[in-house]
Amino acid sequence: MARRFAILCLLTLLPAAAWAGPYEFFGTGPRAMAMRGAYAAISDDAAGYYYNVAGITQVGRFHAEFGYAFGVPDMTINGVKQNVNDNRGINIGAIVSSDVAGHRLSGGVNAFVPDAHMMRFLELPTDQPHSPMVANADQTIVELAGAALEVTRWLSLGVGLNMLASNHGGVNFQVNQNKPSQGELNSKIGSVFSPIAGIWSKPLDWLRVGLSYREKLFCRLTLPNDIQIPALTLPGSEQALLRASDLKLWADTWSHFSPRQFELGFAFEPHSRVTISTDLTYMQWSEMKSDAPHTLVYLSGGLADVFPSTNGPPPPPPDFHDTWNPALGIEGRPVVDPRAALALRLGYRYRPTPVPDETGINNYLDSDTHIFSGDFGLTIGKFWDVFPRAISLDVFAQMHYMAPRIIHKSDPDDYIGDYRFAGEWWNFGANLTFRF
Amino acid sequence: MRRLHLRVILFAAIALSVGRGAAHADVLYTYGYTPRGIGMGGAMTAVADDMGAAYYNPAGAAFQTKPLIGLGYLYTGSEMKGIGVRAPSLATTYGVLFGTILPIPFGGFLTDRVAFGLASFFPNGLLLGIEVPYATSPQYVLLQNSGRSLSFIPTFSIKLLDILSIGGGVQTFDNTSGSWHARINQDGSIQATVTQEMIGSYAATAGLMFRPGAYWSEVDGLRFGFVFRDSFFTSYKIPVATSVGGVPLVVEFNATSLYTPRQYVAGLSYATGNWLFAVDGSYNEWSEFPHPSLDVSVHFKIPVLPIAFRDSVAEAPHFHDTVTVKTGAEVTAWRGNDGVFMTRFGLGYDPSPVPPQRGNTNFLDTDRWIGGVSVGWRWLGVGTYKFSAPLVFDLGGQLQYLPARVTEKADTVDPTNPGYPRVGFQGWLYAVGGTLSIPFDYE
Repeated sequence: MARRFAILCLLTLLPAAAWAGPYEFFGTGPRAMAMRGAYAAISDDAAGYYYNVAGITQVGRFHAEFGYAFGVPDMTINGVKQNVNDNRGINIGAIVSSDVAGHRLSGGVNAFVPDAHMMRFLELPTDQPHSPMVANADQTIVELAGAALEVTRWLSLGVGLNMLASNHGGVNFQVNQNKPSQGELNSKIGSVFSPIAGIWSKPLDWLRVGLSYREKLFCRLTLPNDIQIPALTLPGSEQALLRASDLKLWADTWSHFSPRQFELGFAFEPHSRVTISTDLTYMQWSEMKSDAPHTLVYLSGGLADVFPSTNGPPPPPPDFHDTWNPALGIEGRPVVDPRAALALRLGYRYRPTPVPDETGINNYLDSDTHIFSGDFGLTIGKFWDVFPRAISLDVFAQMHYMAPRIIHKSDPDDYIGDYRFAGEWWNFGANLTFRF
Repeated sequence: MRRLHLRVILFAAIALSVGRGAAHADVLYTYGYTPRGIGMGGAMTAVADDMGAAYYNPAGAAFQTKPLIGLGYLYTGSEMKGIGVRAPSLATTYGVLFGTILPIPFGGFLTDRVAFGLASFFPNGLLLGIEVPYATSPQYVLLQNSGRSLSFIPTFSIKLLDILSIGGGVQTFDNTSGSWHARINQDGSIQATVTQEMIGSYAATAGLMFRPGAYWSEVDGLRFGFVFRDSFFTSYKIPVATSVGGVPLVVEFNATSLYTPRQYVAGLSYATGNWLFAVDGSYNEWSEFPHPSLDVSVHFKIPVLPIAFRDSVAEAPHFHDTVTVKTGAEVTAWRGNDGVFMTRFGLGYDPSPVPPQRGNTNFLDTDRWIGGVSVGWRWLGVGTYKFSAPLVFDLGGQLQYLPARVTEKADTVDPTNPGYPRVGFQGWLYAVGGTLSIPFDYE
């Protein structure tokens, strides 16, 4: 009972949200999310920066998107619902195209800005149950920028960058007894870039093919702190009770890991009003490092004589394994008219978990997940002379079903013990697309 | 026509009320943005017709009918000499400039009236660097973090009339807060929970551009610009909570850095023949500059021992407002079939807002005399072959003279103060940069 209580207390801190990055977990773009990421061969909007940057050459002139999405979790451990953060934020994207020596050159950005923070590092101790995919990943801004060139009418190549931040910095304090304390700060938030690239081809009128590569991305958080305490004396006395002390606190951790990915997709149009797309994504989760802080505390001087301390070993590796993720999407267009068009989309993705059976000290929470999605899209033709081309409104929904998973610890005295967890995520959103 | 103008104004009011308007960044305040602007001494408020429009005057973008994209590099350095103290080093800064103007191709009454602008500076490998030395350490309180932060200023602008445009946007960046909590395990080892949040912050910028020549040909070439930039700073807060032999030790600190003052800038430019002249005046509210050193609070009670630790003491910096003047000129020196060659120069004066350092702090700052030069080459093609879009190369440099400023310390100052008995410095700042910008057409 005490153990269960301890687990529940710890898990009230369970952070929310997404996997690796919000785009790995939910996707981006209403149409792509509705087709559950089976989009490498489509990528004809701002979602293409993520799924296949080469595909954005299908967009001419100027194209802008504005959307909002929110994801609501329902996760349980031992049947008790957990207080997990939801995932909310604004999505914007733009594609600008020009003609360069007879070839279309397109470029622009896709960004997701969470409501709560631009970025969060929440680094938990090794044994605290948490989702490695949801702890920080959704709580971060996503910035993708890319450009693509239409080499021929049936072949495009694209490259881009994904950007995040790392942080190194700490403070030096002089904690004084007889004069005001003071401190100095040196903090450096650095940029971390990882490349993305894609090839898009349309060899036949009814067939599109896309191959996409996304390099792994992770952040490092390093916090060195130094607290200096002068010799301590009793009030009114000049004789030192304790000689000067120095306390060094060091925390070093890796987080926001997104695995290296290779994605191959095909999109077929068996009928002029139907598109079927399928993707297979290989995700190299085996390269993930522990996201628990490696904490070191060094105390020297007078206080060390009184209060000895020790340091533990570094966090054990998570031992994740690589995964293959298949996805299928279908788009139907029952109404096609220059004045108004209607599209309905459905999708499915199977996301096998990279997390092994957690029989040891690690407690990464994840399980095989089935993702179902759908979308309703309305495109209105020229209805006001201010907007020279069509405007689209898309409303989408996703459901992530995380299969129940039971964890049996090999050590009967494990601090956390055995547990069972399961979960669902519901994700909703709407998006406006303007074409000029 | 009147109804058209009313609709434009209403649209603009709605558009600008949605945005929170925007801001200004340290490296841009210190040196300016784009080689052209740097070479013209920063007198660009009434010019603002290139990739720097979002910074210099967001309203300027609305007068551009072609999209434009620019990419470049900026390098800054310094040569400082301490007087009475050993001058701390000032880190060099270098990074990528990226700017754009994208007229939004609306139709109807908004045709050629609305534009998106972006001005950004990405320091190499850095999004934000903050150094906050001990309060008594000699330090360049205004310059030490200059150029150590990303600047990102998206704006929108709208041409209300053929002679008048307005624009606004935001500079976005983050404040940092978090915590550091250590936990003692049964084996005596320590594990920590570390959190750190980067929370978005925004500062507004807004501008107005007036080109009377569109209505009155007698003053063709005359432009007025007005810009407001709200104050901008980042804050940093992280409590460190650990345990010394089971005794809780909590040290919390707060810091404010990268402060850039609220500014009101007025500019005038006049183009005649091959010449363009510009002048800017800026009122800078430095008097709101916050205490720049770390605030430290300590919670550490050792059992039995009646020992109390003291928090830090904040001293108001007492900066004062300043007025900055900048002038610049551009001349089209040569024009041919293959391109156009331009030269530019500028002068400026930026007085220091920092009072004499007679007390415990040693904030090093002095007036800045600014000189700049720049050249530009608008390359149209080679011989009979013409590029589909011109390639515009700009190179520019700026040299700032920082005259000697020395302050004698008051008698009440502790002789162990690093600035005792006198503190001062003199030196030079410099910046060089180059850009390639391309005005093009949507496909």
